[in-house]
Formats: sequence, C-alpha cells, structure tokens
Amino acid sequence: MPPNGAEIVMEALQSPKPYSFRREMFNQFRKNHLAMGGLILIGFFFVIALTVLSFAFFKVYFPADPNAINLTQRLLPPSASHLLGTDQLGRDVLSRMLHGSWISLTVGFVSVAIAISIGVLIGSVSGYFRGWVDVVLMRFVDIMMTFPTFFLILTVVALLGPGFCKVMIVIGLTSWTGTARFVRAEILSLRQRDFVQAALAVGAPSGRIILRHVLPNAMAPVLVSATLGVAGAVLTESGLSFLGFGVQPPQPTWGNILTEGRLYIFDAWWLTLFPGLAILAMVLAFNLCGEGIRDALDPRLRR
Amino acid sequence: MFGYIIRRLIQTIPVLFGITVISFAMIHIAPGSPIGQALDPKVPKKVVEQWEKNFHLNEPMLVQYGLWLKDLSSGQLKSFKDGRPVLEKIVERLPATIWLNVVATLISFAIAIPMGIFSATHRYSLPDHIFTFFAFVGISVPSFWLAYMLILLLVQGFGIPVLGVQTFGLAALPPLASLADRAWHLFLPAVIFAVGEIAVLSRYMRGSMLEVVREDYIRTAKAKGLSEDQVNYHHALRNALLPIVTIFGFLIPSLIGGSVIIESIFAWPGIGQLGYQSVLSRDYPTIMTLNTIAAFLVLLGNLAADVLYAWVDPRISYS
Repeated sequence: MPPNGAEIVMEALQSPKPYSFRREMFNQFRKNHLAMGGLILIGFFFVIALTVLSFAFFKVYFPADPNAINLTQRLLPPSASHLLGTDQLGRDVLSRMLHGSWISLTVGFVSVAIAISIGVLIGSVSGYFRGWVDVVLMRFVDIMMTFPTFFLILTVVALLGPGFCKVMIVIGLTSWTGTARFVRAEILSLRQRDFVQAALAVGAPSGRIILRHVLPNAMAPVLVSATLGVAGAVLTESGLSFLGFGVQPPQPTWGNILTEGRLYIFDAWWLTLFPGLAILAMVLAFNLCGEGIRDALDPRLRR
Repeated sequence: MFGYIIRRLIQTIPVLFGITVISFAMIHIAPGSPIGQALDPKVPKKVVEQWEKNFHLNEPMLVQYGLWLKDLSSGQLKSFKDGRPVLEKIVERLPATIWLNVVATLISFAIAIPMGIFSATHRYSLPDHIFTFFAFVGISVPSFWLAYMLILLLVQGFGIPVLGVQTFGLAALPPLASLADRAWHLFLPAVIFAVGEIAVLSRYMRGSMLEVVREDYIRTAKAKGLSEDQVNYHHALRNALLPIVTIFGFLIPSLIGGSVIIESIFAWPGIGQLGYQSVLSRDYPTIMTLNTIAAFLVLLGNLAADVLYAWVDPRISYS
C-alpha cells in the first residue's frame, strides 16, 4: 500500500531532520534487498580489485603469482593448495581471477564514463538549443542506434586490433545514444520551467544555465543509465574476450581465462565455471543496483 | 495512417544515407590498404593491382563510395574471400538464422508472457520475487558461458551430441529420425538465445500488466463484482498485451547482431557465423554489407512496430 499524503506530511513533521530528496531516495533504495545485495557485491569487488592491485604494485601476489607457470601442475582440479584449480600451464586460477578483477571494473567504468560524457553533452546541446542543431544531432543518434551494437563493436575492434584501451574506447563510443536521447527529453522539459526562464531573464549565458541549472536536475536518470551501462560494458568486454578480441593474454581477465579454458572444457570444467560465475556476479550486481536506483526514483513504486 | 507510413518512409531516407556512409567509412579507419590486410604479402603485385581494380580501390574515396553503393544495390558486390557475390552468400545463410530466431522467439513468448502475467497478478509474492531474481540473472549471464555449461552438462553428463545442424555421420538416417535429430540441434542454441529474451520480455509484460491494472475501467470492472480472474484475463490482459506487439518489430535486428556468439559456438551455419568469419578474414565487402543490411532491418523493424501498434490500438492516431 503506498502511504497517503497525510502520512507523508506527518512523517516529515515528526522527523527531526528536514525533508531531503537524496535521503528519501536512499531510504527507498535501502528497503530493496536485491538492490542492496547488488551494492554490497559491488563494494566487495572493489575491495578485492584495489587490494590485489596495490599488493601487485609491490610485487606481492596472493595466493600465488598469477603468471607463474608450472608445467608439472597442469589442469589440477580444485584442492586445498589451489582453491579453484590450475590451468593448462599450471597457473593458479584463483590468483588469475583475483588479478583479472580490476580489468573488468576498469573497462566497465571507463567505457561508461566515455559514453555518459558524450551522451550528456549531445543530449543537453540538442535539448537546450533545439532547432536545426537538434535535428542534425538526433538524426545522427538515429543512425548510430540502427547498427547492431555488438557486431559493430566487434568489427571496429577487429579492424583496429585488440587491446585494453581500444576496447574501452570503442565500447564507450558506441553506447552513448540511449543517454543522449533521454537527457535531451529531460532538458526539453526542464528548459520551460520558471527557474530556467528566470536565469535567462537575468542574462545568464547558455553554458552556465545548462551546467548550473538544468543538468543537475537531470542527473538522477543519468545515474541509473550509468549503473546499467557498467553491467552492459562488462558483458560486452567478456564477449569480445571470448571471441579473441578483448584484452590480450598473458594479462589475466575473466573473459580470456574462460576462452583459454574452453579448449579443455571436458577435462577441466573449473576453467570455464568459475570465471563465468564471476562475470555473472559482477554484471548481476550492477544490474540489480541500477534497477534499484530506478525504482527508488519512481514515486509510483513506493511501498 | 497511409500518410503516416509515407512520411515515415521519407524520414528514413537521410538515416539510410548516413548508414551507408558510416558502413563505408568504417573499413577505412583501419591502418593500411584494405587489400594489404586481406591478402597474403607473397601474392604478386600484378594480382594485387587486379584486385584493387576489381574493388575500385584505386579510385578517389567519393567515387569508391558511389561505386560501392551501385554494386551493393545491384547485387554485384563480391566477397574478398572467395569472389562470390556477397548477397548470394548472405541469402544462403538466411534460412538457418531465421529458423533459429523463430524458434527462440516462440520459446521466449511461450514462457515469458505467462511468467509476466503471474508476476503482476501476484505482485510481491514469493514466486514474483523468484521470477524477478531469475530475470536479472537471465539479463546478466554471458550467453557463451551458459552455452558451454549446457554443452558440458549434456555431453559429459548424458553423452548427447549438440553441435552443427545434425549429428555427424548420421545424415543417412530415416527421414523421421533425421528430422528429430535436426530439431534437437536447433533447440539448444534457440534455448540459449531465448534466455535473455525471456528475462527482458517477462519484466516488460509484468510492467505493462501493472500499468493497465491502475486504470479506471479495471476499478469499474471490479466494482461491478467481477471475479479477479475475469478482470485480469478478460479486461486487463487484452490491453496489457498491446505493447508486446511492438516487440516483434525489435526482434528483426537481433537476426545479425544477437547471434554472432551463439552461432559460432554451436557451429550453426547462419548469418552471425558468417559475420564472425568475415571479421576474422577481413572480408570487407561482406562486413560492410552485413552492417548495412542489419541497420536497414532495424529501420524496417521500427517502422513495422509503430504501424502494428497503431493498428492494434485504436487509441493511437498518427494523423
């Protein structure tokens, strides 16, 4: 049952703190167990990635060196000494997975940062200035949206040659169109509001109006699309890795542990199962979290 | 309505133009000459020149673009790899991909729609929470990993063959058994394909149903004393299904993009596999054509979805 108006007012009057949109959103988010689970999982991945990365900086590896080849210990099943088994070169799978975790997170965040920046820029210019600028930019968005995204990314990465930076840039450059569309829609409606008209009337320049008055009010849905975008980017990167166009070995990534392992799938199931589970867990965490934020922002879903 | 379709078709012309420009420009972002990348360096210079002439690579960029468009539209464009017309190669791959998509779509509709309705009518119940969670898993799972896990389970656990269009060495089976064999080889990739679609579609159906249940006419139906089931299935469902119709339009594009990975894993001789093979062998004419056709299909799909929606829902008018 959604709380009625009177209840909300009473609650606001009784609470010692003044009403805040952000706190209200956070309270809504906290009630959503799935979304909170996702957030905790994301935090967990962050802690792992940062710890492993800072230790690796001092050449300290745990539980073992991810690139230490030991041909006498090839394809060992999970055991006490190798918790997730070893791969075809006798390397410890758990260490390789731990040392690959920051790759997935970095690809996710950097490509989304690129996509969101382009999307917000094009969306706000288009929505604020309208007219022919809007027409030209939105036709360009239409064109970009019609290409089959994964095949397009695959083609471009294959032409440029695989690589960590290229993968992030290509994913970023091909996934901004959705953001551009809804930022434009937000801004089209925001720019009609009185506070924007007031800013115009006192002679504020366009850049200031967009950055100070309009954009901050359109940021909440951008956060949702960014969180879901990270999930999509991690999944895309793993798909590219799988087809051999992702981050290249010997750098361990979840995608390429899986790809190398698939040749031994009937002898060493652990090489396929564990990295796949890790990818699933990370993508799931970001998806749950993103949907949780979306629900928290939607007043019709209050319970 | 007719006027609307005409207007939409006119609007697609600049978009279509942009699509061909980007498809064409894409291959020129790669360093070096496209031929140099595709051919063995040991090939004599004369042969390379002949190739460049055949593919108009010695012309200025603008002329190349024009000739490419001409070749593409007249079906003359030839593959770098075997010199066969690209369109012919695509058309012969089409049936396998269409079969895969049709079966996957049928599976996903058959499961997702009842699932979504149940979730909406039993909102916040335990099954709803379970469906919701599994929908999220379905969206998040890497399809290639799921495919390998399934192959591992079936082949290792039960010794059932799964790759290709039919079991190797069994082509001479009696017709009925052969048909069953083929159907089984189609079923597995289709299921993997359907997992993601089920996840998205069931959430969509749930949302659509919950949207409709809020309407006044539903309250009226309930106030008249109709039973829950009557209201849900006779009054609400009919309108809740309307937005689902538009999904058909969006399914066409996945014909190429969605199937690259799955077709490669299952050795399924469809368009996705052709796309991956041409990317690997840098067969530019095929890559460009596939991208153009895919984008063109998206345009058609969007138009079909809008028209279909207006046709099933009289509340929408496009005058």
